[in-house]
Amino acid sequence: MGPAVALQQALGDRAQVVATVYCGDNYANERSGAVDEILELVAGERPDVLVAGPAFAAGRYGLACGALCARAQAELGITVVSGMHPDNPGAELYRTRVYLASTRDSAAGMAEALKAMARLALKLRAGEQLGSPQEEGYIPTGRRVHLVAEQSAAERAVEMLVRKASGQPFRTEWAVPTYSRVDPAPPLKNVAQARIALISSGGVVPRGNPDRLESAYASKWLKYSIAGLDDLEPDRWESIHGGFDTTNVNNDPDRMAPLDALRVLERDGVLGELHDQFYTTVGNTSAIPTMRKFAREIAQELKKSRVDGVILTGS
Amino acid sequence: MAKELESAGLPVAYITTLDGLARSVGANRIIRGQAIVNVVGDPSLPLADERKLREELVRKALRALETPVEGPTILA
Repeated sequence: MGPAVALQQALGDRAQVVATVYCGDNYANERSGAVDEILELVAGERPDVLVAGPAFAAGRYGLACGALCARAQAELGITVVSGMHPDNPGAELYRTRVYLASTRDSAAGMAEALKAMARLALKLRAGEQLGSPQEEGYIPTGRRVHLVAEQSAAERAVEMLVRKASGQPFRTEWAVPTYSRVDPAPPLKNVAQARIALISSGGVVPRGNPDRLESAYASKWLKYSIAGLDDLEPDRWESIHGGFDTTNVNNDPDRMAPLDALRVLERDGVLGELHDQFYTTVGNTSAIPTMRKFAREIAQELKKSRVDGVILTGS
Repeated sequence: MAKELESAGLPVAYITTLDGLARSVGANRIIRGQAIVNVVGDPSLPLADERKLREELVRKALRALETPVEGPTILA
């Protein structure tokens, strides 16, 4: 059924497609328990391998494939493979856990995607060591693998430079990451009538760090009331950030979280009102998805508190 | 964090000393801070001057919240 016909061709006689599960993208993403249902269907067939997708650039499809594969791998202990375009949001979320064949962005790339997924599935199932993402056609998982290069880094770099300078094709060994863009939020019409929240990723907490915020790899964000406070005094506040010398901030925590200046400007009517909760975390060796999650959670609270805009400080 | 908050509809003025990095990762409203170890301060200044400097940085940040931007922008 569907792409399974071509998948069977790509697998040849080394594997047999025993069943195909199909489901709408919205059903899989909106309905809580949809992945449980699919997982149950998969488990009922007792397969050795689950192949999901290819999702190409379809975001909801990619998220569903990733979620299902991650759970089938963890809960059923079977080999899983999916395929999608590297920009699919499912790739960012699941590429470290699930092997994802790197596909084109539309179903025009169906045949080659299924071939790559079949090849990965057979290799993984057989317990064979996979080569590099480029060699094998999967999206980089973020894992570091040691290997001995024949030439030193200096020789390779000079060779790359010569190739680049002479207009020949070359391939970087470490691509500079590209980051997604978000549309800017509309500007405030009048800050003098707005409620503004202060957030810092500079690790400012009450002295003694009573809630044990980590100085690196932060697992949480915290909030503290600043109602009635005009100043972050050094005997009551400190920074526990582990990524820079905190001496200057600890002598005056307003150097990281400028409460004193905000109060002056609030009193002068430059800003309408400072939100009475100060949000804090540590941005140090932090994974982007973790920080995004923190911000998402904080944004929800701020919206409930009818905050209009944010001042965020960080090193 | 700045991007996630902005995508939730909240304008964010991000004061950071690594303004170029902030721009390349896609923060939209960026104000350059004073130094990594004292983003909104300067211990080499007399206290009154340091407070003035901090106030000025925060004023810039507040103005940034009123500024329409098309994409990642370092606002002077």
